[in-house]
Amino acid sequence: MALKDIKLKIKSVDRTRKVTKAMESVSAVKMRKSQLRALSGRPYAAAALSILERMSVSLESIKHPLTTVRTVKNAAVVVVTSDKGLCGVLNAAVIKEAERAIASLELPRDAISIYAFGRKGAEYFDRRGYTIEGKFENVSDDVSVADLALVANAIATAFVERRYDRVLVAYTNFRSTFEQNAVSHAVLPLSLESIAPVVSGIAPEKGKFAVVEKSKGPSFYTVEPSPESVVDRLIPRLVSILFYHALLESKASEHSARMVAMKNASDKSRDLSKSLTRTFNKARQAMITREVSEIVGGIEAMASA
Amino acid sequence: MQVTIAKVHENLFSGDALSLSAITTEGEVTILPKHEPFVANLGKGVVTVRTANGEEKFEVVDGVLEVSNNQATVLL
Repeated sequence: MALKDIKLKIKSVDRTRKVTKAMESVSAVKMRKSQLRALSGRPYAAAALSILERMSVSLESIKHPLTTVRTVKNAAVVVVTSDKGLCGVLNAAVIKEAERAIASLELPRDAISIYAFGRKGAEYFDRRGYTIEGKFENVSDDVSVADLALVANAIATAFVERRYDRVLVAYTNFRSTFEQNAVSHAVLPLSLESIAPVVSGIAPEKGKFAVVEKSKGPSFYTVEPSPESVVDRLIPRLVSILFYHALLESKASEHSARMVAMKNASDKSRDLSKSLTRTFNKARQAMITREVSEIVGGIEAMASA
Repeated sequence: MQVTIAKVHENLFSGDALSLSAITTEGEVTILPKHEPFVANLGKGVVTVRTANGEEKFEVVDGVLEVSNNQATVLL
């Protein structure tokens, strides 16, 4: 390679590194913020669940429309991915998990509706001919429950009206900065067994925010006006918490996955730039040696003439 | 008595309080320390928390109040 070409290549690699470095730092900040946010919802979810749990005896007899188990003829899948790439296997893993969940339903393709948060998931399922019922892009990092309420309510209503018999959610669970798992679970019909592990898993396992606290409740309550009406109020809340939580977890995962991916890219480009500089120096040295030997050769020739 | 008033994405109040008054769908209640375990639906109104340093008021549209173990939790 000519000297000039190598020089250009080094420059371009360095420029790329600047970009990846910047993305890394940005993701690091965003990650910290979204981790905090993911955690802030935890006391609420834990409290709501524990109230529900202690009234679960009555819950079984209540038959809330959102807890009714029916034979599955139609299903909705909520897939949470990112809008942008450059974050390693994150989206591929969620999509694979969603595919697995869909396959386990054993339903024809047109019986499945997709709600996609994030462009990547929407594109994937759109290309494969699934019905995209809802598509949400550019979901901001500090999404509020109120923003989500519309979607959560639409899905819950559809479930009550028997347009869906089962609602699944597939997202990325944030375990630590270096570890994110794609998971999927049923949201509707709501059951205590299925959501208890989700709520307790809201805090990451390792790292700054990994705290575990467990409070024991009393065995009986005075309930006003009736357990039914309290459960009526709690269940829709828990459903929207589950969606909200999936979104927050995915955000935290996306930012940490991107941070790690960008860190790897920066490291790699540093290595590349180093080896290119070495090639450059070798080529330069070779050129100098050649020039010197040409000059020496010239002098020799003149001297002997 | 420990009082927590929380929305899903934020904690509005968390700390020690002398009493808590709220409007439930059945009428007004005031929770004092060592209240028996209690769950109620909240109606539209104001939740008042009295602490050693004064009062704090929160506007409420609906929610759930839970009291157990000398701890009151309001979920909005």
